[in-house]
Amino acid sequence: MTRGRGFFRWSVLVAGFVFLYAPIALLVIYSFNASRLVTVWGGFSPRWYIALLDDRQMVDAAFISLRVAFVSALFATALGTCAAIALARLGSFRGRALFAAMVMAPLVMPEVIMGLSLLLLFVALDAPRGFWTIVLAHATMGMCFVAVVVRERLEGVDRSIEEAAMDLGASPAQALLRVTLPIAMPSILAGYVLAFTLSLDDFVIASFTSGPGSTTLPMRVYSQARLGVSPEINAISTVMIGFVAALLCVHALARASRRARD
Amino acid sequence: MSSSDPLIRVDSVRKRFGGVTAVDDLSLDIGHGEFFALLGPSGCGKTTLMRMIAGFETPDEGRILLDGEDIAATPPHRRPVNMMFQSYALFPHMNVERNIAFGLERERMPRADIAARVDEMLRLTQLEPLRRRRPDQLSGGQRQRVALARALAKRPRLLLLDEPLAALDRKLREETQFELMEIRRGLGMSFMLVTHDQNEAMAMADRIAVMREGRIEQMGPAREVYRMPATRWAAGFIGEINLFEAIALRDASAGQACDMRLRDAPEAAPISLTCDAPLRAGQEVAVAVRPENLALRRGAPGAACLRGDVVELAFRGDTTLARVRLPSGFVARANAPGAGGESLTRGEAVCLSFDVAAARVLAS
Repeated sequence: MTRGRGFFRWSVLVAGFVFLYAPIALLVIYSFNASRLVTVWGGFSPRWYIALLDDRQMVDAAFISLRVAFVSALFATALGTCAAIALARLGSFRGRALFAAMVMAPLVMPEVIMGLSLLLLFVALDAPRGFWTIVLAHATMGMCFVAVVVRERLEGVDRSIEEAAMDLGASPAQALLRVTLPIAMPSILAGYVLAFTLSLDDFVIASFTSGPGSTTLPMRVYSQARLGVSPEINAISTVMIGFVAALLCVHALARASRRARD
Repeated sequence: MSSSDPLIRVDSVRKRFGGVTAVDDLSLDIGHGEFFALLGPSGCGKTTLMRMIAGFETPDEGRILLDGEDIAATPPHRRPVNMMFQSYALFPHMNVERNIAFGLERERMPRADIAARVDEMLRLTQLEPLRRRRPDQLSGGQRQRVALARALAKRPRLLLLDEPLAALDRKLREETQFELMEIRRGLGMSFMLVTHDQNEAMAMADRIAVMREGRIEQMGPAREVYRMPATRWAAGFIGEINLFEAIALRDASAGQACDMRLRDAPEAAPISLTCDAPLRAGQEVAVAVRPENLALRRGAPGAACLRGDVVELAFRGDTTLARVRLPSGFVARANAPGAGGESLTRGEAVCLSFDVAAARVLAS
């Protein structure tokens, strides 16, 4: 009986993982395919990775994506943390409920609508579309995720810890800088990582807000795939997966080592 | 500032939260070097009063003076008052040393002086071996000592202690009580203790204010508050007490002896007690007697005694607590010491008596 149940549990688990990760595994495997045909295995070869290095457009797009992600995640983290502090610490202020709803709205707003509305805004302002418009758009999208993560953490922190800091002579600003923010730092870093990966992934909003010379990697991959899937796309996708996985690993390791130290 | 000013004077302070009045027209003084306790049940406003002294709440009305100067406009971080929080509120990202040094660093004290003061505090609270530990690596008792060391480090004029022993187990609590008293004697600063635990307040404080619903019910030295409760409520809140219903037999002015008859001893001769308030003939009063002052004798109906039946017995080691039902239905509690108490049985008819010197008349 228990044996039967154990088998059932394992098969569900395996089926689940296969469903989630088999496509990604296939993509990674075929990125090392020697054959030009995507569906036919022609032996192991790193040739598509080498070809990738010669593909200027692809490499440029990758660097644009990384730069956009790096900068927009900085903005998103700063703004999101401010919003989280306002929501978790300032008590009730006029328009608090509205503010909370508006900070959280992009979480549920369809990306197409966000992208389109941002495009209309940039057009109306006659802003030249390019790197900075994508950064602004991604910062707007990322800040709500940061705000959610940081607010969660701040609400779990005993208010009297900040009061103790003030009681001991810290001004409200010092209490924030020396006590509140250091305590919230793990969640702020987590928020940054989240905003970074979201920006790196984003295709829809970037396509609406980019301009000439600011094609991001997902956009480049998409436009190439429309001309036919080449193993090179598998290769660049594998690099991206590896990059995001590495980022998450570093974050997880940093958390684990902080736990171990404590 | 003159030397006759108290350290803290709370002057007709009132504080409301929405429709609830937390502190209602309350005045009190705390002297230099005094150990003062605010005692009351939860929700009586004691914490609000303490937070107003610390600066985390502002009074709606009234003033709080420190050395004769109004501190209404002084934010918490500029008040020479430190607080030990009930939750301890240690900084989780700093080790013991850094927690203690935090307040000193805010004062921009020179580094060497900070190190010396931190060492002194660690010695005082016996935390030296734990100086590099973080709060989550400490036991409850150790955390309590870090919180104390951190609050004492700045040598505040007044240390506020918010239920400082509530989170400790009983044995540790008693030890810590003595430590706190010793530390205060050594440093000579004023302490204000906020607690709902009457034993804690009586053990440590020089003076106690018993609070109820935002007002002070009674204020005075610990012994006086225990021996001479001012009202029925204060009597019941501090320790165990028997309130016997009685009727004044004649008019008496305050402080004058008055004959009265206990409802549960109608045939006995009237007893003569003094009351702080004036009494009228026929007025109903309560005669308060602590269980330890109630003598319990077997059977033998004496002249001045309250007869009743033992309904419950609880052995407490040195004494036996007996609950005795009187004819009116009132259940009195008496402590019978030693073998006499142990030989009592349930249902037995007994006789209770007390020395009038240990009894107190409460008109309200």
